[in-house]
Amino acid sequence: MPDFSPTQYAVPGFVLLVLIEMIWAWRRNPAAYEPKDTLVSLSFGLGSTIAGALFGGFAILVFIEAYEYRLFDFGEEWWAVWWAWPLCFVLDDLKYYWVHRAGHRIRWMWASHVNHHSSQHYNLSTALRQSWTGAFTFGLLFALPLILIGFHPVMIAICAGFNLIYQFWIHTEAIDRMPRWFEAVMNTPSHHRVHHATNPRYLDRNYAGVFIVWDRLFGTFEQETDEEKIRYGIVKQLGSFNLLWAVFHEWIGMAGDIWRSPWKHKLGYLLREPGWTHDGSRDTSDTIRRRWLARQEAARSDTAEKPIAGTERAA
Amino acid sequence: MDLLQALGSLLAILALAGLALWLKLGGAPALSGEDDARAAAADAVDGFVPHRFGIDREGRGALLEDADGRILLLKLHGNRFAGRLLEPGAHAHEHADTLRIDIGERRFGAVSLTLDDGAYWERAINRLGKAGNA
Repeated sequence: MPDFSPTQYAVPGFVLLVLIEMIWAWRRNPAAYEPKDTLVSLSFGLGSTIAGALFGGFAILVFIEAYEYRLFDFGEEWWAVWWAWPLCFVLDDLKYYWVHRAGHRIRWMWASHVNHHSSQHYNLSTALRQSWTGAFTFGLLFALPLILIGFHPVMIAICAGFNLIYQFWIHTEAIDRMPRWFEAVMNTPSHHRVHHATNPRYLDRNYAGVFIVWDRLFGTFEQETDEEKIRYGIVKQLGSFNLLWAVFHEWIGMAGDIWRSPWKHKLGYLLREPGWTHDGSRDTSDTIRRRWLARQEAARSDTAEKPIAGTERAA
Repeated sequence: MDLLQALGSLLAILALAGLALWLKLGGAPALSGEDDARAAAADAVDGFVPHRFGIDREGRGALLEDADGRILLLKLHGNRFAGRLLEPGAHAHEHADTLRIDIGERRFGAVSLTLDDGAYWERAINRLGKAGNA
């Protein structure tokens, strides 16, 4: 059985590319980086690796047990079945789309995934801002169908590793747009900037890992527009560089909400979308978008009712 | 991950953050007027349209009030602005010409602003608490 972790080998490359992007920022866009933000993002990356080593064991146990119930058997030398690798990679990316979508639409999952979005910057160090608490969500369940089909957990882990490596380079403002054919199929810096934006038009869009086709297929795709400046981060910005607060703030908020809410609403604070409250006192991404759309519509009606000077006479 | 790798990663992290500092990346933006404050407010709370402005003399933050009487506090966070709509728990105290605003959120921290009309904002913020208790 191969013992290979692609992400470990990629770490020196990550460091080198962050270095190159910093030099780009120094020459072209110094505001793209902020030292304290960079320190927090990179510390997230290291902490995430340590947390994975400490808490990843449970998921491995579940996967190994589930593998015993597989529908198809690729044999003892499953790694030698060449066509299983690209198939596994594509299916794992489809899995990534759904686990990522759940990460934004279910508060329990968001409590962990929010870590990746909590920077107000968008650069390669943001890519390394990975969660410490993924093991405490039910994200592992999304991999079970692949295992039950017959893909070995190690094969899935290796594919997921390459998926993560691919996603590193798209966390940048240094690249504008890729060639059209590439933008049509692959996740790119442009598509992923949309995903990290808090502008209402972009909220909860572009969940893709490697292939943007999933968003196009499942109705969550949004094209980046040059009409408005992107703002990054989360709807309620942290306003703090405290690493531990950045890691645990949503877990603490969620636990507090569950504790304080009436019994019949407690599950809602765990399983409904971030921002949901039983009394409607906070905003969700849907309410923010609806309000924004209403404002756009009102502005359009207003423009239509007020003819541009001169046009009335010409008509 | 073994100890050597962890230490190597830690050194790389410190080196990169140190480099960002050395290259003076980030900078310190300032709110230079109402247009800047309006834009930062819209970034912080979508759709917030201020009609009264209390901008820090050095542009490090602002207090803004909209037509509904909502008060938005903006503070400089790194080289971006972060904001909070003030709630009844907020409290303000003016000393000399500096207004210290405590929003009751420890990690966001208390914010000190030097304002031309600090007394107005002090009253307006402390009134939120009274309205909340009423």
